[in-house]
Amino acid sequence: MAIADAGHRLVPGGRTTTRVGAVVLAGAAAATLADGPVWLRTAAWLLGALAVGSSVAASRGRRDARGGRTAQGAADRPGVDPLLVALTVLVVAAVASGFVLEAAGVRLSQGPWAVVLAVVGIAVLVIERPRRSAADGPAGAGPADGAGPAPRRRSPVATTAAWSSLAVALVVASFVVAVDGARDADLPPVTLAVTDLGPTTVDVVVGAPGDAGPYEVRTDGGIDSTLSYPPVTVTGGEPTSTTVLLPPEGKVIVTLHNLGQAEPLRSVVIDR
Amino acid sequence: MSTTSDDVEAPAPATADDADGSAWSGPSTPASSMQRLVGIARNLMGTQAATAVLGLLFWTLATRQFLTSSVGIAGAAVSLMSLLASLGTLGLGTVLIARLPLTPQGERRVLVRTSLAVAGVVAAVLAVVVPLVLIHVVGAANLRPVAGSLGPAALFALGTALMAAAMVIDQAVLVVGTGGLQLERNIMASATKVVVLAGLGLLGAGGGMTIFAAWTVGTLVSLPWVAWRSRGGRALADPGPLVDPRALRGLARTALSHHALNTTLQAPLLILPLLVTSLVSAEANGVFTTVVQLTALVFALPFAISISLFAAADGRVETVVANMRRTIPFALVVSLGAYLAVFPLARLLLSVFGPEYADQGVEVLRLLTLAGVPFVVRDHYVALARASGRTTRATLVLAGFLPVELGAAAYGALRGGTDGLVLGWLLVLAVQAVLLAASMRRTVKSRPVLADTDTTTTTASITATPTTQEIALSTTTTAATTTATTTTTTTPTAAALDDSAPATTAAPRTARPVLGPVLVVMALGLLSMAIAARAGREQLTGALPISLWLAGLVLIVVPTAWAVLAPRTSRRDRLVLAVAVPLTLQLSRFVLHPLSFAFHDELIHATVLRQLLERGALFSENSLLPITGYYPGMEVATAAVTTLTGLSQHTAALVVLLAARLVLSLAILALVERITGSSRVAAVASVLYVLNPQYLFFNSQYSYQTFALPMAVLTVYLVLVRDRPAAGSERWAPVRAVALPLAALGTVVVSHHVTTGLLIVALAAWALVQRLRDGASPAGRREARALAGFSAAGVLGLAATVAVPGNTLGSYLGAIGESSAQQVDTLFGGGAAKPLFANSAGISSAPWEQVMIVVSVLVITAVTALALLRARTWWTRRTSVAILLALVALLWPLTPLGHLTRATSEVGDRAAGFSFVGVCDVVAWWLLRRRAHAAGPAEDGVVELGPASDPAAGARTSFGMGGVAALLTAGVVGMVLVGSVIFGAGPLAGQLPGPFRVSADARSVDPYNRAAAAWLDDNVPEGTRVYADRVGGLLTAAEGGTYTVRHISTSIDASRLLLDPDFTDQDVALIRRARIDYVIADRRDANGLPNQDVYVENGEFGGEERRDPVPLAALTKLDGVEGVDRVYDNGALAVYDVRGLRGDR
Repeated sequence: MAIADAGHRLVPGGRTTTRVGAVVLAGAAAATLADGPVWLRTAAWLLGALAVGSSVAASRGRRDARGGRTAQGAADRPGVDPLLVALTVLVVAAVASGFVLEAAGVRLSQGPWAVVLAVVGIAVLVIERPRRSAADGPAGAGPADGAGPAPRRRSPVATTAAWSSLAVALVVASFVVAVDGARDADLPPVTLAVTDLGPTTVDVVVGAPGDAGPYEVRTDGGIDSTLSYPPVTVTGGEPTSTTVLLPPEGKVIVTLHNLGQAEPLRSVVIDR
Repeated sequence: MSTTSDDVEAPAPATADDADGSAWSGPSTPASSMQRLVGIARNLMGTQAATAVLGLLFWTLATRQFLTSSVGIAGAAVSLMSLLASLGTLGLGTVLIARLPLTPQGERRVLVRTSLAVAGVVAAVLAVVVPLVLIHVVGAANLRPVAGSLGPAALFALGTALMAAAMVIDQAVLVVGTGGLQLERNIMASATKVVVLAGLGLLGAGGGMTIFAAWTVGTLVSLPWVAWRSRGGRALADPGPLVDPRALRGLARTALSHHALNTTLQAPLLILPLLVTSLVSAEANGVFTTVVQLTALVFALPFAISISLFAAADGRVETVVANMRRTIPFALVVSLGAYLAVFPLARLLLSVFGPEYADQGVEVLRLLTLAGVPFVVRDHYVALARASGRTTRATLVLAGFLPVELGAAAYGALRGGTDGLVLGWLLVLAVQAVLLAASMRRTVKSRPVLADTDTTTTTASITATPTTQEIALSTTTTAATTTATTTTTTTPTAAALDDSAPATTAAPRTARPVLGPVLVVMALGLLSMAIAARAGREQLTGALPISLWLAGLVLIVVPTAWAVLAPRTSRRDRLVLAVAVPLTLQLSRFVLHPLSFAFHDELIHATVLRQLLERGALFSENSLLPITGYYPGMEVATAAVTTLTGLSQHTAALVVLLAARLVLSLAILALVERITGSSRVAAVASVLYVLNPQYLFFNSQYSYQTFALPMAVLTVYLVLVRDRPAAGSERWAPVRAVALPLAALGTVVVSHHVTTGLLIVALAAWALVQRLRDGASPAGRREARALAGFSAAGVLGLAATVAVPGNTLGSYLGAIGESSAQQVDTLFGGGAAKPLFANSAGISSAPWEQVMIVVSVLVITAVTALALLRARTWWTRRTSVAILLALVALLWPLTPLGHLTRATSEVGDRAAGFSFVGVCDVVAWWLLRRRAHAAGPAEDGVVELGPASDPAAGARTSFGMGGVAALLTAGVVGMVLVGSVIFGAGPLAGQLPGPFRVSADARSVDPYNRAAAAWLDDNVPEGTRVYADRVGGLLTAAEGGTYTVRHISTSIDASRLLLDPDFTDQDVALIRRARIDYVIADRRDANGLPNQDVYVENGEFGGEERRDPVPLAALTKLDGVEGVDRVYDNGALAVYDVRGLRGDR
């Protein structure tokens, strides 16, 4: 029942968790509305989701423990059930909120979405909060109402934590290796492109990874047969623009060369 | 929440060493000596395999992050350290194996610590002296970076001392339980050094001794770990001195004798490379040394058994003799099996190191592997000699053979090069084996043979002997095992390995803590895959990337499969691992393509996501595949994540996919546990599900089925466990009971049409089964009606989605059905089937891959058939949902049969995700079912499943599988996994990033076509109409925000624009009709046939009769067309502005 137990442990404070969860969700919505930093918004929504999920899981666990309220079904639910139900609620809420906004004719943007999900989350927290009853004893006092304190077992927490830390470090190392490899390999090629096409001129942009060049831009078929422009270099991967003269009509081929080489690297064609 | 008898929810041990026994107190569980032997051998092999794989990872990482010269220095330092540390151990490790069981409890720690200290000091002295001599006397200037100055010299001495201590402790821990601690230490050390090396590399550290430092840190961390894990409880508190040289008094002779024997055993394999170098060539030795390293894995088994025989015997020759009767045949069979496996795979294995190794080393590897057989005899002889105190005699005998071995090898080398050397050596080994076997036979005959008795018997007999009272093996850490020790007396356990024996006769066993180590191994598997992907990106040739990829897969799945199947794994560990494997495999996609979407379907759905985020509304038209816009459940969830958190779309998609994976794993776990009543069967089912051929790629990509399938399984589960309010329940109870299942069903409905349809059918079938089985009872009829109601709700939901204006579901599915029917008709009419092992570009799977595919499909089919055959009695005994899953399993053959035609292969592949839900349930049940030994309902002896059982009948759910069977099954799982992945995703080489391939999905997504898409994103308005090839069109829509013209969305086939070499009026007409603004031409398409059937889309220009690649002229024809501008060029792709042809410019 480890996973179920984990679900129960996620609500150590009962009503306090409800209040804290509500505040976190409100804070997450505020951070989103204020366009706060990604790490803050991510952390806040993650905590809010955990609060809602644990509240749902604990509530499911409490209902199952009471059992007598149902004729069938709750009995024999597997240990992972509360966790699964909590996850279901989160996924369904994310999907349903989008459709509700669409149906209401509201744009699916960060403001409305943040408000709707925060409100839904707080509502779930309130609905699923532990309630005092004579049979239950103090709210949030134990994992299962009336079950009494579970026998304390020693578990190799430190051992598992040590292994898990190592595993997490390796996963992070995997990500670093993968991302670095992809970034190293994802170098954009040398490009030549037309951007601003005017009546007598056109801006051509030279792009390349990192520091590159010098390159030479030439035109062929324009005003004179061939025209060369001052060398261009690319610094820090920032594209460099050059303005090229155009005839009023006819075809012009703009080519990009390594300085001093006849064979063009790239070429664009403008036919007017 | 159910609790089942088969789940070992063992009380946590008093100390962390739990299953391995407490600190140096010997085995804590009442396992037989044979069980211990198997356990030790298994762990030794595990250590060997783990260190080999992790060593490969370490060195691969080193080569990626450090200069070649630094790697060379580190390699030399590590080799020298290993040699000196081995010499420095002085045989103390082997002595401890023999001595610890005979040492009083209170003195064991001191003995171990003293041995470690002595080994460490001796090794440190050697590490200081030997390099100095080598540098200053011999003139080995190349060693200066290792020990030429104070800092590196101190580091080298420290590393060597620690390594010597580690070698001693690795042997000493074999007397504790089954040697799991040795495996743990090695995994811990290897994993730590990989992490440290990665960290040092990222910090920009350089130099060979930096690599050595990472190695040393790994060893350093692992030693306190062993101390902590074997610390024992308060009862074993050790107030004595830390080190006491008197503890080693009288052991010197024994230690040196063992040391001499160890050195003699290692000598041939150390000297043979020298012979190759001097008699053949240095180049040949390079190949030979590599082959020797490869065969080390084969030779490791007899060696592991030899050490295990010795360690498990606790100094009793009779036990060694008794166990040898089983270990010799077993080791011989395995060695021969290894030979048979290596023979066909020799070339592949060697190609990891480069083509020249494959060319020169094949025969050497095949011959050398044969040495495994005589090694079995030799190592058993050595074990017997050690146990009977005849190490000196054994040393002399083997030392006598040594010159003969080397002489024969030298003669062979002179006559036939390296092949001759190995052959000559083998002949002497064969003779040696015959003679040693005869000697062993005499020894065995002279000894009385004991029946294999369990440890408790041994304990009883030992403790009854006054001279060995101090052994006190019965002083175990837990009350449970102590009880077992005293109550289980002399029960013979000739069938000790038969774990199918009734649980009622088995003694209580503590759970084996496997979670941590398996998680680390799993993470290492992920790292291996990340390195493989990186190597693929760097276009590294050879088999290394594929091997790393394969190793990663195996590391992630196989240890978990074993742990989940093994009887001594705790319930908690099983459940966590059963969830961790699917999540790790999902992460493997991230390490493969960490920055962007790369696959065909992913880019289609990334387009839906982009449109949703940009327009803030649902149901936009996705020109790539219009139907996807009407089922945006997954994209809505992703948009919610990215909108709220600000994470990138790709990262948000990863979050959603991980959540979906988690839902699927938990839903399978919950569903199967609910059906079978066993969390063990459930965990096994969850792991078996990953054998679904589409699991690694298709079912984990950013696609609507990936999201909807988990929700569908979840729906079935929620329907199953929903509350059934009794009469008189509170007012809202009926609503609350159906709310959650309906919400999950609704999520499926808005996410994927086909999944919804299948879910509707499944719910209807479930209702029918329920009606047929339990229709006689009112409750049964009520349940059938409820199930039919859920099915009807699904129908209504699907109808609602179809009613959304513009939904094209009917025509979309109709086209697929028509195409499939047409191709099946052609096939039955005698038409050619789709090539089974080749794609449309003619790229075939390697022969070994084809074998793996066939084996995988056959195994899955056969096992499923057997399981279903056995499950035929479910009709009368199981709940209706169990029967439903069995029916779902019947769909599996659709997947392999679907591959007979192109159209049906896609349908069959998609079916795998669904059919495997049934397959994994039925097969997991079948694997672990156990014949009833309690008062269960009989006939076939299978006990009733879970909650459906009748407690009054005394039925008891019970499932089981022994440790050895678990190990073998995990091996089969690994084999099936590899075949399955190749079956589902094509040759391994194509699964990794690498050089551009024509129309090959992820392999076609490269910086060139992404740069073109990015340019369009920056320079043309959203929704601009573009025509491009298959991958270019996907990218420009997903990343460039354009409207890619496709036949499926416009009913216009404009493919002649890119595929017809002639520019005609038809081209102009097409551009006008489809209102195309830009055409993107990828000139690389002319380099080959498309890998995914088409350059652009089905039915394209010239597609039917295409035998040659599209002409380059077709891709450049717009260059000469009047009114067309080429506005972008990146060397591979050009973008043409064709608005002039429409008169729009």
